[in-house]
Amino acid sequence: MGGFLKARLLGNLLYVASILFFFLFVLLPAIFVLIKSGGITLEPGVLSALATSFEIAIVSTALSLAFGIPLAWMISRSRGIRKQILDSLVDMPLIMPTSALGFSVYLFWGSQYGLDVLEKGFWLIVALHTTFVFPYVVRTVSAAFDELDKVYETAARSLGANLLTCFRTVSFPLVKSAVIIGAMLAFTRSLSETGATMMVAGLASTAPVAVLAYRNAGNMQGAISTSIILIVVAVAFLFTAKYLARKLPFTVGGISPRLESRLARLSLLKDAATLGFFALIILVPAFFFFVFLIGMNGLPPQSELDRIYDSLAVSFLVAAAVTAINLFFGFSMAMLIGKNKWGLGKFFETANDIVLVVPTSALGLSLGLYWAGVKLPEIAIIALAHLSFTFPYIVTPIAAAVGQLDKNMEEAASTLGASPYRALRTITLPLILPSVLAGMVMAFMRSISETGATLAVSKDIATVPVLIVSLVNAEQFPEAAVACLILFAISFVLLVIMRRGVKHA
Amino acid sequence: MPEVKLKNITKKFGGNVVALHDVSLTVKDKEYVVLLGPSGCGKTSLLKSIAGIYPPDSGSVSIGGKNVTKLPIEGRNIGMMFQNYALFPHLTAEGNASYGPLMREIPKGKMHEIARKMLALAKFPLDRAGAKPSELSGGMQQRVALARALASQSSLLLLDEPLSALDAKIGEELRHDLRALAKKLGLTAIHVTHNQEEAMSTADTIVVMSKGKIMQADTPEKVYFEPNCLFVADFVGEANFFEGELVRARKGLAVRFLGKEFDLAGADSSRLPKSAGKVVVMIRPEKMAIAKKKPGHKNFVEAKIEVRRFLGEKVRYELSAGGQAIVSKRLGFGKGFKKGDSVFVSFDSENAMLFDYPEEKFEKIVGRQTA
Repeated sequence: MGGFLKARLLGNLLYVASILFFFLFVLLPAIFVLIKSGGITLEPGVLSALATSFEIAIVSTALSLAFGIPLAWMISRSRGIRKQILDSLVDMPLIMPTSALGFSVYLFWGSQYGLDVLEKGFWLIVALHTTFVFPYVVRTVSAAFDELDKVYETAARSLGANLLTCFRTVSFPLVKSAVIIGAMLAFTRSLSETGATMMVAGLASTAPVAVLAYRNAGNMQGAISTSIILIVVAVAFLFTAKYLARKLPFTVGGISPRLESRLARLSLLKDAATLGFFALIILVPAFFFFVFLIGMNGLPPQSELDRIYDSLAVSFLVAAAVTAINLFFGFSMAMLIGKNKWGLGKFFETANDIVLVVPTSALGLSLGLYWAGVKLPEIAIIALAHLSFTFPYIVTPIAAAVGQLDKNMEEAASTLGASPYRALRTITLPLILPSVLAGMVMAFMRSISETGATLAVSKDIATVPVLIVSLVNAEQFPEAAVACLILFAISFVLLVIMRRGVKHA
Repeated sequence: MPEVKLKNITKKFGGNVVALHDVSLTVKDKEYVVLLGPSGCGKTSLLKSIAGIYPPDSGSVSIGGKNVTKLPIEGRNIGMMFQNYALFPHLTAEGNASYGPLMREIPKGKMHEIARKMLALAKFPLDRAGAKPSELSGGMQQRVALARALASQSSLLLLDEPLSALDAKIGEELRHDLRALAKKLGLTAIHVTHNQEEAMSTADTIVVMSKGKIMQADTPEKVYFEPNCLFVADFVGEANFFEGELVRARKGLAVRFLGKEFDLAGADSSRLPKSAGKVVVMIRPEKMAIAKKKPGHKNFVEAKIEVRRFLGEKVRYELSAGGQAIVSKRLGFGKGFKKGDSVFVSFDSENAMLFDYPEEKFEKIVGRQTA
């Protein structure tokens, strides 16, 4: 009996440790700026940067919804190879670090190597943000369409609904919450992007860019004020979206089914527009740096390559350390959420969501303030910052998998004499392994590609995305292109590993 | 006047799996037809090709004299009930019931009226019309599904296993409501089920299907008492099958089985084409009499009671006679028998049916009975 009790005690100790870790290294650092602030000052620059950020987030989210929902529908309703191709293509911009995307989008729209039709500024930022928020909408919505039982559609059609009316009155309302969540993800992502935006902003300034600019200019009050507003807005959006997803009422009347039946005949046009948008506004700009690479005369000088390799080493070291530490504490936290231990599941789930939506440059500033008193090497400070925002990426998928597990299984293992630890190792772990792997890869990728938070805490050391930003700003395009290629290749390989792992497990 | 005519319908899935094999069927106006068969027999596929959910690979479907083979689901004007109801989860009971009228652009007031009338006809309590499906019990959801199908105002009602998700008791009550309502409103109904009791008690005509083909289409009585093949005899109700040898074919028909010769002069041999060789004798368990005393005629065997099972209104006995199993059912009241009793099992020759000996599957049929 003593053995069983000891095992339970150890388990509880791990839960407590993960809770302490979460508060000290994840949540508090992320929102420390709220505690530390001496009030908010609304300078004119702050307000206009915020306004710009909102305009960009609204436009890029609206574009993504308008073309992303039809694309999600198309993906969900295709079969075989067509589905696989569309599926993989949608994921591609998602795995490209935003700084690489920023460079590529700039090359396509704004440089002499591409179309050269957009100046650095508002519309170039919109073009950039649309490329990386679009996959969030499509992913979330197409997953919801996939899970939707087709019988509802059949039932509606048996009652005389044409395809368009059926979509408006039945399929769409049933995935409404996924649309809201997708829009929320897209909106907060756009609101928080820093590194790539800096490359294409020109004279325009978004709020996250302003945070860094104020900080670098020594205007801490401006940086803090902007950060606080960004954090509050992002968190408010999170809760509004979650509330709406549950509560938003829905009516089916209004539009004439006969009119829709005539419109439904234009479906070919709709498909062409959707695919055209996806190809020309998302895919080609996102991967245009390949065209530039092909046209390059030889490699950049060795000294520049060495700089890239040094940055790579930093990025890898940080990402590996952060993933390992977060896996240890995140696993316990995920079990705690998934099993709703001590009734704390909902609380920590929400707390993790908050960390997830806090804009990274605000988060970076906050982290900088939090760790300011601690004398540590710069690389350790960067790692501490990354600990915070990558944590939810590990916790969320594992917690979801644990939550879906049949409770009876572990109980069955216990009735057969398995200790909690052995039940975990032999039953639970094998079943949730794909989610553990997915969480690890996502956290690793997130760390490798993050710009804003890194910029906010670093001075001399550069990770690869930070290096790309400075290379682009110095117009060293060949060097930037090589760095982008390496970063993309790493992300791509990781994605393949993750998909393989998920399939096998 | 929706008479439904199916002509030579063939439907394959994934190239090889044949769901429907050259099926032809006519459902008369206002007829209540039940498609009955084991899972995978093609009954749901047949219903779905009438609805337009599965377009057939070849053949034609016509409803009310109009060829609808090429029409999409929404163009066919049907009322359909789905297996798990498929109620729209985001709409209320009334919202579900008024969906069909909404699609036909019926004015709001009239739409409201139709929805409520149909909910009432389906015996749905109107004070719950504002409830979402998730707030309703299975039986209530079923009634909403029925109201929704009726509110399409089609006179063709398609029912895909409408009662399979319900408790036995509620299902039994609702099946009678279904038939009564279809008759009252003068609807043509096509109802798919694997439950033979449900089929027997609701149908004008039962269509028994197996492996993508129609085996027999007849009244419930005929399907039960005059099955046209071993499959139907076996699938509908319980049956004793005896492997025998024809002794005399014409006058004074006699067959040798259970180790002796039986006089089957009164038996139905219309399904037996031949005059010599191996045959199968089928007798329903309730036509197998058990007695302690030796009966006054020739058609009996001595047997021992092996298993006695009390089924409520009936008692089911499993007996053995010379190593062969026999099943007998009799009403549960009165003095019964107990395990180990030695008895005489007998039958009237009018209650026996003769079938030709099948080439391969007879073992399976007999095996199922003794298990």
